[in-house]
Parts: sequence; structure tokens; C-alpha cells
Amino acid sequence: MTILRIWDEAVACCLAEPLQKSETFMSGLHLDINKRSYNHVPGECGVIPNLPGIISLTTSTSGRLYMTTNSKDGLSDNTHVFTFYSDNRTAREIEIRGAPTKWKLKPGAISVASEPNNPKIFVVNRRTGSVDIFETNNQNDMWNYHKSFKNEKFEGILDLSASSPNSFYYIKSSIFGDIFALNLFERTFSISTGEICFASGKLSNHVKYISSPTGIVFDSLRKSIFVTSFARNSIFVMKLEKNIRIAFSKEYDLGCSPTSIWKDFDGSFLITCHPVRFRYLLHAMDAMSSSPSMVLRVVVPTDESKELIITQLYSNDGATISQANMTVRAGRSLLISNGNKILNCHL
Amino acid sequence: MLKIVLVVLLAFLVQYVFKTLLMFDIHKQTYNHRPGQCRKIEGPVHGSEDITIVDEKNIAFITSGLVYLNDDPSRATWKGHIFVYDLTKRTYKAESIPILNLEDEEGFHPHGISHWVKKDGSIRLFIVVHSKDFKHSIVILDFDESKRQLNHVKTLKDEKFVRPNDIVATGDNSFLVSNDGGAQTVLANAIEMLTGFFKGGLVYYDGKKTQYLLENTVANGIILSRDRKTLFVSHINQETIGVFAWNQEKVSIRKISEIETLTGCDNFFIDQENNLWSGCHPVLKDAVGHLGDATNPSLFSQSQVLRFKFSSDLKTAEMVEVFSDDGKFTSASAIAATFDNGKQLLIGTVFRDLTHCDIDVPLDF
Repeated sequence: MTILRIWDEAVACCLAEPLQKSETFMSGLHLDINKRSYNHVPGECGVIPNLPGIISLTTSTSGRLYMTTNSKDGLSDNTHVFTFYSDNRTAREIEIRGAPTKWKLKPGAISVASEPNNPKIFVVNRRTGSVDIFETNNQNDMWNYHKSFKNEKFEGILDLSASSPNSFYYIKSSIFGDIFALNLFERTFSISTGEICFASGKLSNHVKYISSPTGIVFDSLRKSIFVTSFARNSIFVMKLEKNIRIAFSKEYDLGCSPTSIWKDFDGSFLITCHPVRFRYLLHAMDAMSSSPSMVLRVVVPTDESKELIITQLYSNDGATISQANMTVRAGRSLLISNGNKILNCHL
Repeated sequence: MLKIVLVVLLAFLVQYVFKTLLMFDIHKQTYNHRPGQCRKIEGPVHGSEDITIVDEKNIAFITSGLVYLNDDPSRATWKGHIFVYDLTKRTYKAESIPILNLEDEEGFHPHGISHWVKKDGSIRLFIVVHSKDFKHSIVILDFDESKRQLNHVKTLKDEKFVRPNDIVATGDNSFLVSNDGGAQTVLANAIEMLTGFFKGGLVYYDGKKTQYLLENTVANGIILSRDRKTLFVSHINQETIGVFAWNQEKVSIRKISEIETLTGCDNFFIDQENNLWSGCHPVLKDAVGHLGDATNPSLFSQSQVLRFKFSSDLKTAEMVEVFSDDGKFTSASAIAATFDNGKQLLIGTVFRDLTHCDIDVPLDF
């Protein structure tokens, strides 16, 4: 019995240690020193004038694109909600009616519940820290205020994905709050300080810890959640179980650091990536003026034994668009955005 | 004291392993994209390692059937070919043309190729050739257009053709040839790669004698600019492109710059607008695996086509990735050549087939 225990401990020790060493040793490789970005466009590209960068976006089942953008003048910290018309590549600001008198919206992450006729739109209100619900008929540029969900856990929501007219999954990036250096540290190494949560009304439940999540998509057809992880260069697939529990299903390697995920109508995902991490770090620390951008189209197979099918749609060394962190397809337009500009490419 | 020595040794070992992992491109990945519709060309199946396009005739010459670092001559069961492809028709068929009066027909395994248009308008081909037991020579052939055949003119052997890879014609009887290393066996080549003591270089033949222009480096693809004043050299193992000023009268080169590509660029092509094109190997470990056992269909290697637009002072280059594949469609791209005013593209591979693509995406933006 004593010998068996010693053997067990020896096996655990020897198995654990090489993995840890490998992780530490490979962190140099994870900085992508031997990688660079090569330019590639899918068609003609141009910057959409008079429109600042996208913070978050969502599309309804009828194809209407809604996006949260930075301030129009690029100076104040006000944000706006626009709807985008792909046929003439213009955007119109959403008008909100029926809100309480003292209520004001500073929109952040956004998602739409997939009801075809009367979609509910969830918007993180950065001013109040709540998640506000709106109704629209998708026919005009007007939203009706519905209600607000208030919970202190909603502070710092990075992305959310609606799962029903009354519930959503959301991710938070860090337990470190706003400390810049610790956030960079979290994004560079695989520390599971990020969080996936489920909210129903104003109630919120912790679901899982994950390393630096950057985007979340709830797929009702596949009954799965897809979460991108910056530090692990991967996309997680999690299956829904009874109640709100989700079970880890598969982790796929993307080969670059994903910053956002959007689900297209054919079930594929458009993902923005940082192809060269050390240039991202240098840019974040203001040591370099730009950082490369990349947009991938990723098909996650339903058969988990099969590989991802990845196609590159866009790649730039940072001269045209630096550090792209949001992408969406609207008609035959591919919109790529960083914090201060939106690039429109013909597909 | 012993502890200090051990720590220093350990530090050296760690940095050496790290550097080797970076060199072999562990942790690097390619993402598929094509510039338009791509189709395989019927004809070459054992490689299309180099292509030279004759603008005056609208044809492309393609070498096929390469033998490289072959420790076992009996393993090379394929024949060497020179294919001709008509660029004006979309036949997607390349024709193997006969070569007359070769000294060693069995030992004809062509590698790099270059052409020269003689004063009478006929075409002369300069070809790097290896035998089955990996002996090297430069073969000069004249293209008989009416009979669709190649006539042997001369075979050159020289001690300075250490391990020739690519060739650039500079006259009726003169050329530049690159040596991509000094080792003649797989094991010796592995040692050369891992130690970093490269024995390749650049050799110029003026019609009578040879002389070294570069030594103790790796020179893979070489090409001259359209005005024949700038020489581009691919240092494939160092993942850089050397840019040199070339003076043919003085037979001298002067280094201008070195472009870091972080991918193993193989052969070169200069398009009508003086842009440099190259077929590259983005992940070295997979390239080594595939090229080491080329007939194994389960081993494949990533392909990449880059176009370089140089600044006027030739010190920087803007890189556009025109084609990228994980190896399942095109394995180990070695050369990329455009024609039809940059609307069409040929992609040649080291040991596999030849691809013809349309270019429907903008390359300047």
C-alpha cells in the first residue's frame, strides 16, 4: 500500500512537471517572434467616412446589423448605436423611445435575441452598469425601451450573447479590473482569470473560468457556446446541459490571438485575430505605432474529430488598419474595425 | 567553478534549443486563401520547381523531376522533364518536349532554369541539372520553335558548382548560378543547417571561367531585375532576401539591403512592373518533412506566394500574400510567375504538381 502511494505520487509529480516546464518554455514561442503579417485583401477596400470604430455589433435573423460605435468626434467617451445599410454602405443612428425620464444610454456590448418578428436587443449600458433591453420591429431606425436588468456583476461585461428574450451569456475579461499591466500579463500568459456567466433577468450565475475571453456566441441550433481566448490562441466549444450548466467540449487552436467572434448566417464564424503577439504588446505599451490585423473565417465542424476549416479573408501589417478587433459581413461587404475607423471591403 | 561551467553550458543549450525551435517554425500556422479560381495543370506530377516565362513568345518553360540530396539513387524512379505551357490558351495542359543529344539522358533531373533571347530571336535555356547520384552540371539548350524540341548545346561541370540551385542567364554564354549549401548528403546537410556554417554562395560564369561572388552563405533563388542592374538572392534558411547592385562589366556585386521575410522564400520571378514574386515555405519543419520523403502523399508542406514591391531605394519592401495553402491543395510552393498583365498566376512546387490561378483581388491598396 505504501509502495502504491509512493508510485502514484511519483507518477503525478513526473507527469505534472514536464507539462509545467513545457508551458513556461513555450511562452517565448507564444510571443510570435518568428511570425509576421503579410498583406492580403479580398477585394477593394475603403474606409467608411464619418463613422468611428465599432465597439460591439450584432445581427438579427432578418439581417439587420446593429453596432455600437465610439463617439462621433473621437474625443469624448460617449458611444452610439447605429444600424448599417450594406446596399449603400451608410449608417443611421438609432432613436430610442419610451425610456424613463432620467435614463441615458452609453452603449457597450450588444446582442439580439433570435426572435424573427419582435427581436429583443440587449445592450450593456456603460453609464449605469446595467443591461438594457429594447424592442424593435426591424423596419425602421427606432427602438422601444423595454426594461433594465441591474446587477453589480454586470460591471465590466466584455461581450454578451442572448440566449432567450430574457436571458444571456456574457464574458468578463479579468478579475484584475482596470490595472493595465496585469491585464497585459493576463493576455500574454494562459491564466484562467476570465469568466463566463449566465444571466436570467437580473440574476447572474457564474458558469466557468477561462483564460482571457474576448468574444462569445450562443448558437441555439447547435445548443453550444463558442468563446474565443486571446492568450490560448483558441476557440472553445461548450455544450449546453440542463439548467444553465455548460460542459467543456473542445478547444481548437487558431494559431493567432482572437479578439472578437461573429456568427454568420451559414453557421461559420468571422474572427479578428492578432497574428503577431509581441507587436500587439509593443503597440499596447506605445512602443510601436501600429499592430497587424487579420480576419479569419472559421468553420467549426459538428464532428469533433475533424479539424477546423480556416480561411483568411483579410490581413494587414497595420499600415491600413491597426489592431482590428471587430468584424462582420453585411451583404457583400466585410466590415473590419478597430477603435477609431471602419474598413469596408468588397467580398 | 564546475557549477558555473554547468550553468553556462545549460544557458547555451537552452538558447540553442530555443533558436532551433524558432528556425523550424514550431507554432506557426498558415491560413488558406486564393486570389481567384485555381486549377491544376495536367502534365507535371513530380515537381515544377522552376518556371521561366518568355514574354516574347508567351510561353513558360517548367522544370520537372527534381532529384535533391539523394542518398539512394535507386529511389529516384521518375524522369526529368522540361515542360512547355502556352500562356495564351487556357488548356491547363503542359507539354513535355524532347531534348536531343543529351550526354546523360538518365541523369537529367532539372532544377533551376533561366532563358536568354539571342540576337536572332531564338531562345536559349540555362538549366541546373542533378544526376540520380546528385552530381551537378549546368546544361545549355536551344529551343527549336518550329520542331518543338530542345537541342543540346553544352554541358558544364565545375568545382565551384558545389550544390547549384538556381541560375540567371546574363548572356549567350554567361550566367549567375547559386549554391544553396555545401553538403552533398542528407546527414551533412542537416549538420550544416543545425550548425549555421553554410557553404553555399553565388558563382558567375563568363563563358570561359567561373568566379565566386558570394561565399559561406545560403543562396537559393536568384534573379535580376528587368534592367539587369539589381540582383535578388534568397537566403532561404535565414528567411531573408538579399538585394545587391549588379555590375556585369566589372563582374561585381554590392549589397544594398536585406529584407526579412520570416518565411523561406524559394525561387524568384520579376513581373512586367518589376515586382518580385516568390514561392515560399512558411513552416520549415513541415517543408523538411515533405521534401525529405517527397513520394509520400501523406506528407505535405505549406505553400505561400508573396509579391514584393520595393521602395525606390531598394531598402524596404511591401509584401502582399497572394496565395496561401496548408499543403492539401498545393504542397511546398517553390516558384510563382504572373502573366496576362498580372491577371494570371502559375505556382510551381518542388516535388508535386503545377497550379494555374486567376488573380481577381487587388494587389495594390
